[in-house]
Amino acid sequence: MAEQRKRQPKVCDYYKNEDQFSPGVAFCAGCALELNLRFISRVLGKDIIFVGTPSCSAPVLHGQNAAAWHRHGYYACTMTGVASSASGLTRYYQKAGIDATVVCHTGDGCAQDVGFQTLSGAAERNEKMIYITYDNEGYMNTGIQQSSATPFGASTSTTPSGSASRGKTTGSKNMPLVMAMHDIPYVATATLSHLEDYAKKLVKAKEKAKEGFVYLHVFCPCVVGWRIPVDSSIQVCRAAVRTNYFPLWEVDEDGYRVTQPVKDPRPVGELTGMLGKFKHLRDEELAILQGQVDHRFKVLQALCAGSA
Amino acid sequence: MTVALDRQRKVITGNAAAAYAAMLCRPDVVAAYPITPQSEVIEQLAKFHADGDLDCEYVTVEGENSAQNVVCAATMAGGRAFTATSSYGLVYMYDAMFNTAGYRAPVVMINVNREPPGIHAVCSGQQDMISVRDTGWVQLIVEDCQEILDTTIMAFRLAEDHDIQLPVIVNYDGYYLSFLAESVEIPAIAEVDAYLEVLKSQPSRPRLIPGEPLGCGSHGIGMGYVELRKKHMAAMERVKPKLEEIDREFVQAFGRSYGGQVEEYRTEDADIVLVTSGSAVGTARTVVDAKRDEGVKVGLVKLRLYRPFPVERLSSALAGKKAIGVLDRSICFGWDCGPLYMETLAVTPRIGVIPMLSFIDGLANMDITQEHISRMIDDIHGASRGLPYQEVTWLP
Amino acid sequence: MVEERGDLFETEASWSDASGKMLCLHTGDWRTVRPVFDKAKCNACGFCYIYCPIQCIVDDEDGIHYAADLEYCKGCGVCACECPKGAITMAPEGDYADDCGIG
Repeated sequence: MAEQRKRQPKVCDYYKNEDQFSPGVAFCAGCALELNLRFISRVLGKDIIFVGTPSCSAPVLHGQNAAAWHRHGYYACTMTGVASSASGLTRYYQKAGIDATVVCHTGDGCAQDVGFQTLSGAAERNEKMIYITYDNEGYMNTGIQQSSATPFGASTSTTPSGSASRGKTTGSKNMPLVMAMHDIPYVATATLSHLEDYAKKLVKAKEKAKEGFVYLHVFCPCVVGWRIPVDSSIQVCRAAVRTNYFPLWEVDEDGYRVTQPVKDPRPVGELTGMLGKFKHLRDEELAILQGQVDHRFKVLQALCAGSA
Repeated sequence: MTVALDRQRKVITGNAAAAYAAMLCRPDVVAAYPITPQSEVIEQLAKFHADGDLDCEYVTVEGENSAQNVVCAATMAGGRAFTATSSYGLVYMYDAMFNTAGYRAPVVMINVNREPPGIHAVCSGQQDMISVRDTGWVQLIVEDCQEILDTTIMAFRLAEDHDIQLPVIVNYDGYYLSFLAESVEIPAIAEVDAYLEVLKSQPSRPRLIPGEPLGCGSHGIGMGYVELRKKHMAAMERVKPKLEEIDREFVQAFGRSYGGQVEEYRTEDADIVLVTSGSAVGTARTVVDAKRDEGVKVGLVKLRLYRPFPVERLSSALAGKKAIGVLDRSICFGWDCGPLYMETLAVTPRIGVIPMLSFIDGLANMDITQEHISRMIDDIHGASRGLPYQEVTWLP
Repeated sequence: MVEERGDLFETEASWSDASGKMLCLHTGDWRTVRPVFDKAKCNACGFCYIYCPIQCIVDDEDGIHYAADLEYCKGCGVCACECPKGAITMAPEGDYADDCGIG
């Protein structure tokens, strides 16, 4: 066998520091969110201040009594208060001349539902911060309830599939586009299968946060809630990108662009087939979901074309 | 600079007085969301800011809940922060208020008393203040425009004191004080700087600084949580003597005193006492004087501190009296009386059982007139002489 | 009456301080399977290293290949799933019962 040399993947070039998190923390085995948080920490560096809230990330981001699971500064608050608390922090740091990167880190339930008003307000004020939503398409920490990020047809504990109804009856909010419509310096989507793409976006986010509000939306599967094999989170992310269910794009002052174009997008059934929450889906329901995916991608393409 | 920064006397509204006080205390962050009858407070602060008289981050939030979170976080990062609200706005911040108090964030907030939830009235009433009494905030309530200004300055001194570290609300009656213009002495900004200077020499509180492995709002688990609650409770109790101390410092600096937790007016030789708070105190003083001229030995206790409840001062003011009346501008569901009355009743073990009367008046901007107070005093007087009396009376 | 009891918080409010020790769970106890690395198949691409959700993949002693830190490895199998060369398989913990030092 030819001599092998250790090479680290290119994404490692973006790592700013060692993992600031404790080696043993209470995320489910195989949880994409654990990778998300550790990755953000490595790329953005140890000086960021996290703003977190009750969610799957809370048991790890927030301390327990006087001890903590990581070495970042953090501020824990209610779901209704994430972007507003972050506004208070970032405004004071500016007043006091303290160089700081405030990073809100919440689930889709907070960002899109109960914390949406305050997120929208902070974006409109162009507050200098990065808001990262990890989208596991529901309220997972409290027991897999539906949120406005839950897709059409998905079975959750509050939209279960039964004889009288078959999963969520409405589609999800196109949250990244909603945030893009606030005309903020930078919006991007990312996921854990495309780490180099994600790293570049995080680095850009840190720069753009000096100008104003940055929003990142990260597709982040939940092993328990989506009923997938414990080893398949990354595969699911990859499938989401390859089916155009979750296209990877960004928008800044130069316009919209798809950062990871997919040449021959696969039918969304290849993604739903991997997920237990869609097990009950009939062909006609899948067709509706495909229609929504197609429509959404068309809108994105039009925005990209309009920016050219 | 457009406003004079020397000591000056101006005719200004209660709202403007609140804004002046906040401006003089140099907050780092001000969160602003309008609500009648508070809006003038934040408008005046916006004007100060726009004219370069107030160097702060002025955050035009999209709702009061956000306003509370902004100011709480700003103080946790180490700054001085201020906001103002009223009724529905106060109640909308309810979840965040628990955080602010629980995090021991020294926020100062104006609440312009207005009737809150249920019936869409835009009118004066104290139910808003009552409805947040268990959030763990210090609550003060004032009588006139000068006291609004002075008490707001004292509120910063109190909130940020190292022994206290609690958020403070300064309440004043909407309409009666918010839009009332009175002659007010405004201190020089240098005088206010000097008054607050003592805070700089105290040990500093923890702050959220980038690069430090400190986190705010950690989960209190089990006994950790209980410990923090006990510490919070103890800090609340320390407010009582601290407020007296601060009042004495204020007299030294500015020549005006308010008596600390309560003010006793002609109570020393009184047989009967009326207890009340807010703008009604001014009217009550006039009626008490008139009744005294008629030979009725009546006194007045003005409640300035609502939370913590000034149990000791109130007990000593009421001890030995023959009958007490408490005038409430709000109601206490479940006890069929006024809330201040209910809490005054609770000092009975310390003063013995004596006739106590509850008067509910001034709801929904209905005026508390001299005639009403005269009638209240007559009822208390009758009770003190053993005549039958009605425990709870709604006026008018 | 509670007598001498040390405070859990030095502060008045709920501040945590990680400048000394951090909290840590022994998550290695969780797993029922563990990754086994076949160096012959491995091309040292590092995918296991970057995709491990808990970032517990460490350098092997030979400095070229990778290994899992078994103190914390939860046995999720993402590394095995992502390995392009099929160089990682998940083996039952039971096969390694002798390692636990009992009996």
